[in-house]
Amino acid sequence: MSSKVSEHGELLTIPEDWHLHYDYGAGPVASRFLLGLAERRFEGRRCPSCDNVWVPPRAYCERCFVPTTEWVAVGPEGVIEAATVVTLRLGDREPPYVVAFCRLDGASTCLVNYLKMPLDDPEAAQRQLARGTRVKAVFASSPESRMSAFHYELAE
Amino acid sequence: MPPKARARTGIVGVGETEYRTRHQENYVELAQRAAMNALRMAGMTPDDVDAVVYSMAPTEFMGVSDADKWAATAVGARHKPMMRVHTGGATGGSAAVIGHHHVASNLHDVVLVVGADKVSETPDAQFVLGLIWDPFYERGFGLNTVTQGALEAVRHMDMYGTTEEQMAEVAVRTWRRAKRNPNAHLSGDITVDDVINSQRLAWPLKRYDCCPRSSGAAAVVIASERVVHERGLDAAWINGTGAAGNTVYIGDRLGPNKQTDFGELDELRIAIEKAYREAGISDPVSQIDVAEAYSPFTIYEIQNVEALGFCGRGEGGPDIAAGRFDVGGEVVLNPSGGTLCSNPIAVTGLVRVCDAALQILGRAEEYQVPDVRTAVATAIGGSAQFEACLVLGSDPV
Repeated sequence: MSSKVSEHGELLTIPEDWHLHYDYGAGPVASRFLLGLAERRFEGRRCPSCDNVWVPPRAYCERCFVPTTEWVAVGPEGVIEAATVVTLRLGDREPPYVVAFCRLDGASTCLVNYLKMPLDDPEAAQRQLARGTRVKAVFASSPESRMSAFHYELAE
Repeated sequence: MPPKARARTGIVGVGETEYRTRHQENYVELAQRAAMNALRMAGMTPDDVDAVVYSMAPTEFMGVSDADKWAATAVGARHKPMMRVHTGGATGGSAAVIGHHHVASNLHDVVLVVGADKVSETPDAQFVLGLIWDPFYERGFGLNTVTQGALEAVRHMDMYGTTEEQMAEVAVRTWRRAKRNPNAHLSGDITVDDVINSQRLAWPLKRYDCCPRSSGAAAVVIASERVVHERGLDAAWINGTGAAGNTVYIGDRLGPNKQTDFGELDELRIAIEKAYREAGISDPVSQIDVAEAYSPFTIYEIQNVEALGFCGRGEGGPDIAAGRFDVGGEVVLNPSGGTLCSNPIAVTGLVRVCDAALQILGRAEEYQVPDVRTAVATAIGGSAQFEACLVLGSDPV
């Protein structure tokens, strides 16, 4: 690519684009969780010391610093803890959309995902997203082994 | 545990550039300008510096991997110990804390803390900011600093009834204060209606609730008490420091089993309380004159004044709107215009320290607050997971 002269006159800018590829190793705990999503199943990891059920699951309880020992089925319903209606393009996704942290039933912590709902009136939508509002996880017709296997919707 | 014996340290030089979308200099020239400005104020040259702490957050913003390598000799680190500090948005605050540790440990007499950023050389800053989340569970679901700030605001509003109007008051007051700071990127007279009617990003945040993407550089020279006295320097004494880290997972900081709440910057409270303890601050409102608080979004300013103990939990919005922290108020909040008006990410926390030190040294010129004896600076980074705090004083404790 060629350099170009900026608005400052004789000062150049040099353009460049990056492309990087990674193959991230998920490890045994995230692998099992994500493989479970492909089977429409949510599982957390229980800490034997504090009894918290970590979702997304971690191999270690980061508070007690002991290995988590037990898989626990959670969801597929839960509650909103925090959600925001995004109305400006901030990345690849076409707005409007909702980013929601929801606590699945049986989990101690929250999992982020998109929440799908009518967004013709973003402010009216936001009013329906109060803390404690019931939601359900809805799986794709052919869910893959990744978080995009599901999204949230408001429960009936 | 009582604080361990440590050497007294003071900031004896402050260097800033103007914060703008673009600069004529390239990246290292910008860092060098701040370094030389700080050394000049201290009456020093690079030969007087024992070690360099380099303040550099994600380098993808300016596009040279680990740009501390490029900058090393430009800022005078030739043949000297140099390390880079990176705690996201908290980087500059953490770098100042580490620079203080280098001197307080008695291992070095003069440490230069310096860095620069050119956030506006890529249009993809939000993409870079979104890369802080792990690729298995959280990345790719709309998390970035804007949605993170929005979720913090949602949470705070939900818990305490904080309003969009109160957040708008933060922007109005901050932009007005920035008018006195020629280095500020944004400044001017805006109204609550301007903020409320500005472009909506992620509810409840609107354009004027958010900081700009800035370029610029900052530096401080930290010296031992011995050097301060031998050279007869004016010092902004670093009387207390604190830092705290926590999980990147926002979802661990929500719900009934949380230890800290994502809506409250509780980790910042931990850092502040440690810094206050070291500095002997027990009644922050009466003891602190100026706060340079890290607030890239209006909600952070509200959370900061609560975490700093200037008011109770949930009282930040109403108290800011009532003018308690305006110029002439009980504590003057961000007389420089703060992070909301200038955000060169790699050094934003260091700019807070610079502006707090300038207030103590009486060198803040147009935005000088009269008779500042104690000032506090904060910084926040990652998913609001790394925090730093410094308490500066006109007298050592």
